[in-house]
Amino acid sequence: MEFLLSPQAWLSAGIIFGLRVTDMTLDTLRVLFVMRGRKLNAWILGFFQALVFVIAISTVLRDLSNPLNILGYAAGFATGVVVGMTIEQRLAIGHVHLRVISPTRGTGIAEKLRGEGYAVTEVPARGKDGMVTMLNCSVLRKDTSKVRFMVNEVDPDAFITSEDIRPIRRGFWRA
Amino acid sequence: MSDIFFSASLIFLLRLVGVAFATLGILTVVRGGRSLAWLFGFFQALTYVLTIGWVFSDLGNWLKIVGYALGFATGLVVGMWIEKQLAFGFTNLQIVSPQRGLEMAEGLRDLGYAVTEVSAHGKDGSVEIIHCSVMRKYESRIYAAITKLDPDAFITAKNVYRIQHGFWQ
Repeated sequence: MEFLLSPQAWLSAGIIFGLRVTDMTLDTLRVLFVMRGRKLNAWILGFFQALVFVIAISTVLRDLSNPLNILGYAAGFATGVVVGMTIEQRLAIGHVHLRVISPTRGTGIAEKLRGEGYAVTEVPARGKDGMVTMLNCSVLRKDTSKVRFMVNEVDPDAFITSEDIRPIRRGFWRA
Repeated sequence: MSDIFFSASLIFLLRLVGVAFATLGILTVVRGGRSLAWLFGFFQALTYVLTIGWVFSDLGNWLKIVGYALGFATGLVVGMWIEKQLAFGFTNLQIVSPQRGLEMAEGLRDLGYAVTEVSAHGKDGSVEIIHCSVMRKYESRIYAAITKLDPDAFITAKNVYRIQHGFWQ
């Protein structure tokens, strides 16, 4: 276990950890960009991700006798995934379609959201206990919780789901 | 010779487990579970670097290479299978039934699903569009129920995120 005392072993493990955190952060972001069809961003991230990956994996494979390298590699990978997730949630790129179903206060919710500048389409529908209103509202993904909060001010019992969409043309996104 | 078989099968097994972890890891990333994503990521990378190291240290040994490739492919299938068993998440079904929309809605409500009906027009007159959000793991069960109520119903499904409320059984 003499490797535990060698500063060199710790240093190389630390470098591998850092490289892997960087490359997995880039990779997580890249996948999310690919899913939303952003080609240029995906290309740039993919290039740097592959570059850092090759450096990291070759450093580990050069010295497999140092278990710290292997642990650093795995811990770096896992941490990079979580860092990438966090950044992606902060950025909240893209658009979502919100579907709000309210039995009694559909019009009130629609008025409230319109008052705040969001575009809402109302559809009359039938539920288990009679007529309900189905509201369709497409917003920037980062506005999701803001809209949810506004809906709850009018009707805390409204049923809300969201889905990822891609804008084709027009729309009021309140950017 | 038995040594080679042993190391090849070890590579196969580790790669299999690693790729299965990777599949589960992707799922937890998409759903935002951070600590699980870290754990899956850690074991995925650990098994990857160990197996790729053993393969590279002895590239002349084709059995190890085959074990690696077989482990990867099998791991993908195992990961998909586990994912299907877990079936996390929610699905929104849109059912269009020209003739039996009302019976369909009532029938699904009797089975305990929450549905919302919207009147709409199709090529040959009025139709009902039925929206029904269910947990993904009940998907095949509800398909069977719909087909029984109206074998001609048109069904599409999409993934949705739950924001608040809803009756999920």
